[in-house]
Amino acid sequence: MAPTKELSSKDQAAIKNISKLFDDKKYKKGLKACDAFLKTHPDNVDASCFKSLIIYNMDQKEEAHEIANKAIKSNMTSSIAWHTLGFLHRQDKNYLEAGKAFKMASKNNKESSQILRDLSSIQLYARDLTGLKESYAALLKLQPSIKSHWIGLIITYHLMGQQKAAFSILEKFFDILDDKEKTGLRYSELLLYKCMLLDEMQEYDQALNILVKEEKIILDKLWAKQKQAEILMKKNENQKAETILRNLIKLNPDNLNVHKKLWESKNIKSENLENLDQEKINLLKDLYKDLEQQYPKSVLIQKIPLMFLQDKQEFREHLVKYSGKFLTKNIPSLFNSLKCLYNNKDKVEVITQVFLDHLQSLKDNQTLSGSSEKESPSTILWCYYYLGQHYDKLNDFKESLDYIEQGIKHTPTCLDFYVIKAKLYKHQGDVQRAFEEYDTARKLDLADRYLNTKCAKYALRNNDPDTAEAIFSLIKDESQTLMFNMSEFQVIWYENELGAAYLRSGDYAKALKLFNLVEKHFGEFLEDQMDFHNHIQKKLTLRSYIEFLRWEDVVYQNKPYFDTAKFAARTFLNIQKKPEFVLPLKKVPAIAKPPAPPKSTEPKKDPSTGLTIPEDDDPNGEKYLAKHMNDLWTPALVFVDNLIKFAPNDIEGHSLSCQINLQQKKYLVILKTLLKIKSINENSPLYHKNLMELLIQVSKDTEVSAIVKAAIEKQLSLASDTNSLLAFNQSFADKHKDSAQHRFVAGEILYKLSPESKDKALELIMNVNGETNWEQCVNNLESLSTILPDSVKQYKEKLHSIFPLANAFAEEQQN
Amino acid sequence: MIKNIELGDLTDKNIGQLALLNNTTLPVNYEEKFYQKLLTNGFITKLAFFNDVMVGAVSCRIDPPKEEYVEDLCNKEKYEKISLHVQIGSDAIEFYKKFNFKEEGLIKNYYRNIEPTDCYLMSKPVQISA
Repeated sequence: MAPTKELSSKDQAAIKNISKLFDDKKYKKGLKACDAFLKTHPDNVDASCFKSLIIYNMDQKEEAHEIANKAIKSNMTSSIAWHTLGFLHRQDKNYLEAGKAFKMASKNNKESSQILRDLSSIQLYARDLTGLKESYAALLKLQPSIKSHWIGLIITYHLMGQQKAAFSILEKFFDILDDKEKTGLRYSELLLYKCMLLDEMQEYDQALNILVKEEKIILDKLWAKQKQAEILMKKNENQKAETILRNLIKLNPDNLNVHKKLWESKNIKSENLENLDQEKINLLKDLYKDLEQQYPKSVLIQKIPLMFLQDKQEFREHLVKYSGKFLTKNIPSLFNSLKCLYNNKDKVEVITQVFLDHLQSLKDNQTLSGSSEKESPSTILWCYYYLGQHYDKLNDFKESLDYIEQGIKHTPTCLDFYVIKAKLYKHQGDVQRAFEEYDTARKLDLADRYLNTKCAKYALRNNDPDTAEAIFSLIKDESQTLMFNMSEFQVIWYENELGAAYLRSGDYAKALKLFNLVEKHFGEFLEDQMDFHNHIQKKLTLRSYIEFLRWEDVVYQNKPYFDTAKFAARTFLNIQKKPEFVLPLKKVPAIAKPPAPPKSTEPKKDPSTGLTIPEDDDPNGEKYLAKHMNDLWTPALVFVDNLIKFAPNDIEGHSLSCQINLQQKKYLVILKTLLKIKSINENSPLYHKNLMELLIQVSKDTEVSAIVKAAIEKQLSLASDTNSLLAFNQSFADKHKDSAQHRFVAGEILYKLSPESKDKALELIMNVNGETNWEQCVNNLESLSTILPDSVKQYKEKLHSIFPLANAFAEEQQN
Repeated sequence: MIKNIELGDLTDKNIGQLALLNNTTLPVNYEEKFYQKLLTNGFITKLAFFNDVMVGAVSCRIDPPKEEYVEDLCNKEKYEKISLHVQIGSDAIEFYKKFNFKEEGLIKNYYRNIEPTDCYLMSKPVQISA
């Protein structure tokens, strides 16, 4: 920051000295110098700004803001003061305000590239692409020789979907490169980026031209060849594409993506692979026979025919061969490899037969079915292992446990069997036993990180956070607390599982604490994109940069986040509804918790900024909850809105949205959401539940406007008077009389509509026959405890008789 | 047939496998203390892995040499012997005999918790190259 002009040379030197002290992080001396200077020049903006920055770095954040704001008030056109304020906001991660301040700073000093650079990183983060374009255009005008500005402008146009504009700037950028720069990795990256743009502009010939002409210079050959094949297919030159793809298979026969493209070159879509007509099957049969001869060691090439073959006999022959190779080599992952075939009933039938044949043959002659070669004594072990997983997948607990037990009897030291055994019990809801079995496996190899982490997860499912922490502490940084570790290393799975355990146990403050941590991590992922721009200009990896930025656009489209959002929404709802039914945490942990780490006297510092990381003043989330008790739905909707935006076909997400909006009486929002659910699956019990709950509340709400009410009734083609609703509910129950979940919803709604029909409602609820699962029923139990708390015991007993192993329905929670 | 046989070392991380193997194959149940002792100096344990699964183990203790041994050590040829205890009536007696172990004597009431309680002391001289 240049000192203001009117100052004497002596004063200018003093400001320079302060600037140097600040750069050298000598804050105490700097502050003294500032104060001394301000005594004689109380209105000097430069000194005020330095003082603000210095005391911010001395952890006096509020005062820092005060000083910066005062500096602005005394001089509204001072770009330095605005820049300082923007800097403070950025450090506070208040990016919206930072952007505004930087913009003001830039407006008052159009010549400063530093301000524009700070502004542009915020604009990229906020995807203010129009603003970003202006910033880079201004930067380029100021400093036409700086490459990162060129790249910034190109990327901005690309993100705006204006590939043509991006391309023409890229062409000019090529012109300013000297010959020395037209070699090596950076140049190769630029060429490939150009192809990416041309491909998106549908200028296929130009793109191909580069790929062919510059083949020698291009270093990422794999990408280039794949792109070439893709473009050829877009031009309907499939035969040429096939030649290239077969060469790619030569490089790596086990790359599924290349195989998918190869199918595509034969006009076969990968999602149709399992339902092809005979002509296509024959075509693939010949192709893969050929490939198998060329690459006999490729596992994938042997597996693919299992996916497209439909003739039972052919499938069987192929499976005998394929499974035989895995079994003979004692490779445990066979089931994972075949798991994708289980949605085909015919294939499952053959799989069952093939493995039972293998087992019989191993028992009789120590050979595999259809072979005369003697197998090693451990082969039968992996056959048991497969069958155990096979029957678990078919939900046959008894059969699967039987095979696992035979395996354990055969070789008790083979820990993989205890892992599967744990899984079997988990699927039955016996989370206690599941943990115990997993712990047995873990104790057989304490050095195995996977077993340790997974076992911690089993402990959390068993509502035993202390045990999980004891196990997790084996692999975490010992000097820090669990919370600090999780948050620092962004251990989302642990946060989710621990939060879910607190949610089940009714400790909603702690649960939200964890779900908010996950939300914070996703914020951090978004912040990551501000750090890359300077790096990219050095490496010129624009392809990956664009892909990364596009990934950031959908960063919430992520299964763990969906889980978090659903858990969080349910937590907020439970705070309101207070279900009586909860699953308490284990009072006595299975493994003793390790002693807390000694409290270090040194405060923790952030290594990147050197600022002190404040101690967590709300470790149990109680302050957060107290603060939001009067407005639960604003934070809840942050989760739910992300959920329905990025998982638009997830009915559960929409249902949670309905329930939260029902709390706020936002009937029209619910109506819109209901219509969305209807378009996904109008037979879903969640559709009926939310539909009826909306109409029940609308009919009771005396303040609802007649227009809104009429609109809802019209859109849903249903009147909201009790008799109509009762009739509709009855017809729903009749229509789905074989489904336990539909009956449950119908029963709950019936009671809500007409408490005097309690007996009839309970009749529907207590009939748990038909397809359902224990986890769903735990949710039902929770829901029932908010509506008909007196019937919880009876329903629980009923569920216990249907799911005898599930701990959640057992008489007494074991501790 | 694929046979991959390897020997491995005992560590504090895999000692659970040895305990499980012993508990399922031997009539004696050793205490936790016993296994911790195996990790200390003076004991040698090797684990046998068949196709990556642990199927066997051998542990031995190095006894301090006796006086006549010291004399032997001064000669060029060094002798030591391997000794072991075998429960009477066990199939293992024949197994060890195949490897030139000889019965040295019968020890009455060697085992406390299993029947029969007597055992043979068997031993075999081993020549260790100078």
